Amino acid sequence: MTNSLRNRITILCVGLVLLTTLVSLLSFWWSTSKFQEEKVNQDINVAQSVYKQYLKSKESLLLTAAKVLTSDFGFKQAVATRDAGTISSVLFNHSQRIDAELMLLLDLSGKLISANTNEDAFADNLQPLMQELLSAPEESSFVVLNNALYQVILLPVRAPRTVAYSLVGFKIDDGVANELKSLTGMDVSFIGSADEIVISSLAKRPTPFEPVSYFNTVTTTRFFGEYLVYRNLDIELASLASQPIIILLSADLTQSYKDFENLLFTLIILAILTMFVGVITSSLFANNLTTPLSQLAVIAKQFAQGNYSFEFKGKKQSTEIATLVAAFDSMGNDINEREQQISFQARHDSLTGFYNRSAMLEVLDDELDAKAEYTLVAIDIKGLRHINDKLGPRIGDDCLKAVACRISEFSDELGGFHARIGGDEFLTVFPTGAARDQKSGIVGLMAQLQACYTIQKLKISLRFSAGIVQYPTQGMASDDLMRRVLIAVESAANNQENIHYYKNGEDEAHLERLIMLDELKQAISDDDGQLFMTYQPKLHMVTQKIDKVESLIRWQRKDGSWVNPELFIDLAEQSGLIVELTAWVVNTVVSQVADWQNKGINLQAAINVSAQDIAFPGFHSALVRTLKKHNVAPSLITIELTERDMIENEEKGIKALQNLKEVGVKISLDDYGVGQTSLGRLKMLPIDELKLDKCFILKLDESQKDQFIVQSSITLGHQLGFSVVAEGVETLDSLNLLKEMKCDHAQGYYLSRPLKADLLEEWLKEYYEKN
Amino acid sequence: MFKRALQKYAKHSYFLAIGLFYSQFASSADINLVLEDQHGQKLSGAVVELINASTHSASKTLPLAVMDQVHKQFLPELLVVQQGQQVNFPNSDNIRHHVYSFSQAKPFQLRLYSGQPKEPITFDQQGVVVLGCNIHDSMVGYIYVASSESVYKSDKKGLISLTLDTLPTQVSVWHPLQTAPLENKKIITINSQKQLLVTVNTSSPAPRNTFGSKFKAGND
Repeated sequence: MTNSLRNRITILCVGLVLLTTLVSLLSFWWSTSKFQEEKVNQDINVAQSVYKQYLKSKESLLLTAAKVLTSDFGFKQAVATRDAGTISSVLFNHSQRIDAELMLLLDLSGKLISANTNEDAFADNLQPLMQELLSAPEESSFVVLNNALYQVILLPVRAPRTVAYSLVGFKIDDGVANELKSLTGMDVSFIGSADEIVISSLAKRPTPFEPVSYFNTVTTTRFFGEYLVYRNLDIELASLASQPIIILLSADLTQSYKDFENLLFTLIILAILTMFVGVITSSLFANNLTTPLSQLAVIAKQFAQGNYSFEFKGKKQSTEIATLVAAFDSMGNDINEREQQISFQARHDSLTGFYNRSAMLEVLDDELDAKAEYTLVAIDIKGLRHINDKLGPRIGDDCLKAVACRISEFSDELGGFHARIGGDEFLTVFPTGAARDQKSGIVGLMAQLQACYTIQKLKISLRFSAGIVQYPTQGMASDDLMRRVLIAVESAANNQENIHYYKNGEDEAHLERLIMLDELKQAISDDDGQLFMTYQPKLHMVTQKIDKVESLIRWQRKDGSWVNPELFIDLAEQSGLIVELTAWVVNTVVSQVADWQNKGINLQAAINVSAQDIAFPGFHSALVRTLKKHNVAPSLITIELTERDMIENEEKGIKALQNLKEVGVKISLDDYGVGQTSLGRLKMLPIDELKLDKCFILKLDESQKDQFIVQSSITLGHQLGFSVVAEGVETLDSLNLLKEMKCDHAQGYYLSRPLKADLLEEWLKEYYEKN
Repeated sequence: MFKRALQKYAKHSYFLAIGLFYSQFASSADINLVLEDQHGQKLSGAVVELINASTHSASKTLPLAVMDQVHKQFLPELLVVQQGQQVNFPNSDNIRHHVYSFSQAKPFQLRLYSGQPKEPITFDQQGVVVLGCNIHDSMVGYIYVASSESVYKSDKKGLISLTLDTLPTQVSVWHPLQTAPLENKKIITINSQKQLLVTVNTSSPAPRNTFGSKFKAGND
C-alpha cells in the first residue's frame, strides 16, 4: 500500500507543498527579519535626523532670539551703561519674550554681570565655559548649569565693540524628551554623566535609573525567546569637554516583534491550510487517477480469464485515461476476435474450413447421440501426390477444396458434419437413417465424388477409397471410431477396393500388427535369434551340385509362435521398417557366405529385396560396405527382386539395379510369369537370372500346359542371356522334366526345405555322400 | 601739528611698536617711534600722546573736526581730536544713519538723520569714543580725544617722528584693536633712544555680523 501510486502522488504533492512552504517560510523569515532590521535602522536614522533637525531648529531659534536680544539698542544701551537693575529686567523681559529659560550676561572676562533668574545660583566666574563656547561661535552647546541641562548659545553684545556676552539657553527637560519622542517615535534620553543629569522620555523608570544600561539590557519575553526591547543609538552632543552630554535614542522593538510574530503565525496558519488543501486535492487527484487504473487492472484480469466485455464506471476521465480505456476496449475486441480466429484455426483446416482431426474427435464426442445411428465415412483421395507432383500443389489444393465442397454438400444435406483428418483424407459423419432414406447412400456419395472435376480449366478425374464404420455398433468412443474408420480406409486403399466396410475385429488385427511391428523392430535391434535366416539349396542341373542357396528369413517370437514371413515382411514394407530388416538380412547372409567360404563351402546366396530397398539411397553403399567388411566377392551374392517390385518406379529401379550390377552382384527376377512384366520390358531389365514362379513348377509333371510355359520360358530366358531357376520342385518327375528342358537350377522341397546354416551344411554332407 | 594721515587697517592683527630715537641735542631730540604688533607687522593708526605736555591754551580756537560717513563706513575710521574740540558728523550716504556712542568720554546719539546734523558735538572729555551706527552694525569708528596737542598717529609704516624737548618723557600708546581694554593706554617712558620699537598686542576685530541666520553661507 505504501508503494501505491496514490500514496506516491499524495506524498509528492504534500512534499512539494511542504518544501514550498518551508522555503517560503524561511525566505519570509529571512526577508522579514531583514526588513524589520532595516526598518529599525531606518527609523533610527530618521529619528537621528529628526532629533538633529529639532535641535538645530531650537538652536536656530535660540540664535535668532539671542541675536535679537543682543542687537536691541536699548539692551545695548543698558549693557553699555552697566545699569545693573535695567540689565536684569531686560534679561528677564527678553527671556520671557523668546521663552528662553536661561539668559545670562557676562562681561568680557567671563564674570556674571546679570541673570534672568537668581544670580546667586550661578558661579561667579564662567570664563572657562565662555572660552569653550567662544571657540565655536554661534553654535549651540549643551551645558549643565545650576543642575539643569540647557541648550545654550553665547553671543557678544556689541556697542558697537563687544562690551559683554550674552548666554541664552533653553532648558532641556523631560518635556523636551517627550516632544522628541513624539516626533521620532523613540525614547530619547539626555545623559550628562559628569553631572549625573538624566533626562528621559521614559515614563516608567526603574530606580535607580541608568538609561544606558537600562535601555541596553532590558529584555522582553517573546514567542521565540528573550529579546532586547530597545535598539539604541547614542550620540555625543556638542557640549563642554569636561561635561559631555550624550543623547540616547532608543527604538522600542516590541511592536516590531509583535508584527513579526503576527505575520509569522499568519504564514504558518496559511501554510498549514495550504498543506491541508494540498493533501485533500492530491488525494482527490490521486483517487481520480488510480480509481480508473485499478478498474483497468480488474478489467485486465477479466481479459486474462477470457471475458472481453466490460463496462467502465467513471464519469469524466482525463484524455489519457479515456484513451487507455478505449485502447482496452479495442484490445479486448481484438483479442477476442483473434482468439476466436485462433481457436477456429486450431479446430479447423485452413484450406477447406473443415474440422481438423483433433477437433473432430471432440465433435464426435459431443455431437453423436448414443440413441441414433451414424455412418462414418473416411475418404482417401488416391494419387493426390501425383497430382501435386505433376500439376503443382495449387492444383492439388484446389482439388482438395473441390472434394471438400462435394463432401460438405453431401453431408450438410443429411445433417452430418465433416473433417479433414489427413493430407488427402476426409471424414464425413451423417445419420445412417437419413442416408438410407434420401440418398443412395455411400455408393451415391462415391459416385458424386468420382464425377469429373474441372480445376483451372483442367478436367481431372479422381479416384477414392472409402472406409466405413457404423456408430454405435462398431464403436462409441471418438478415438475408437476414428481409428477404425482409418483402418477401414487403409484397408480399402491397400486392397485396391473402393469401399471397405469395417468388420469387427479389424481393429484388433490392426492392433496386433502394430504390436508385431513393435516386436519386429525390437527383434532387429536386439538380434537375439528371434530372427534367423534359412537357406534352401539350388541344384545345378548339369553338374548335379548344390552351388546356390536362396536365403529366407524366419521369425520365431519369444513365445515360440512362428510368424508368417509374408505377413511380417508386408508389415515391414508398409511401415518402412523393411530397410532396416533388409540391412540385417544382407549383413547376416553375407557373413554366412563368408563363413562358408572359410569352411571351403562354395555357395552363392540369393537375398530377397523389395522395391523400397532398391529405392533406398543407402542400400547400394551399405551392400558394398558389408561385402568389403566380410571380404566376400560380389558375385557370390544374388539380389532377388519380384516382378511387381521391379516395375514400380521403373526407371529409378533400373538405374539402381544397373548400379548394383556394376558392383558385381547378380540380379534375379523372382516370381517370373505371374506378374505384369511384358517381354518388351524384360529385355531391358539388367538381370542375370529368371526365377520361374513356383505355380508353374509345383504340378509340372501333371500339367502339359505348365510344361509348355516352362519350356518356352526357359528357352526365352536362355535366348535373352539369362540363366533360369525353377522353384517349387517337389517331385523327381518334375526335376527330370526340368533337366530335359535344360533349366539351369532347381529348388524345392524335393531337394530340401529351407534349412538353418548348420543344418544345411549337414544336408550338404549327406547329399554329397548319397550322390 | 597733527599727523592725521588716515590709514586703512589691515584685516589681521597688529602690534603697536614705537621706536624712540634719542636727540643729538640736550634740549630737544628727534625720536622715531616704530609701532608693531606681536607678529612684527607695522601698525598704522596707533595713537601716541605725550603725557604731561602743556595743555593747550583755551584761547586757541580748535578747528571743527569732521567724522564723515561714506559707504556705510566712518571716514576717517579713527579721528583724533583735542579735548573740547567739536566734531561734525555729516552723512554723505543717501541713507540715514543713527550714530551713537556709549563711551564714557562722550555718550551721545544722533538719531536717524541724513545730511548735516543740526550742530556739531563737542568732545570735552579726553578719552576714547567708540562710534557705532544703530542700524548698520558693521560701522565702527573711533574718536580719540586727546588732552593736549602733542598727539600723533602712526603712518602706514607704523612710524611716528617726535621732537621732544625734555628727556625722559612719558608717552601713552593706544590702538583701536589693542587687546587691552579700549580705555587703557599703554604708558612708556622715552629715554635717550633715537629710535624706539613699541609692540602693541592687537586682535583682529570680530566679524561685524549683521543680523542674520548663521545657516547662511557667509556673513556680511
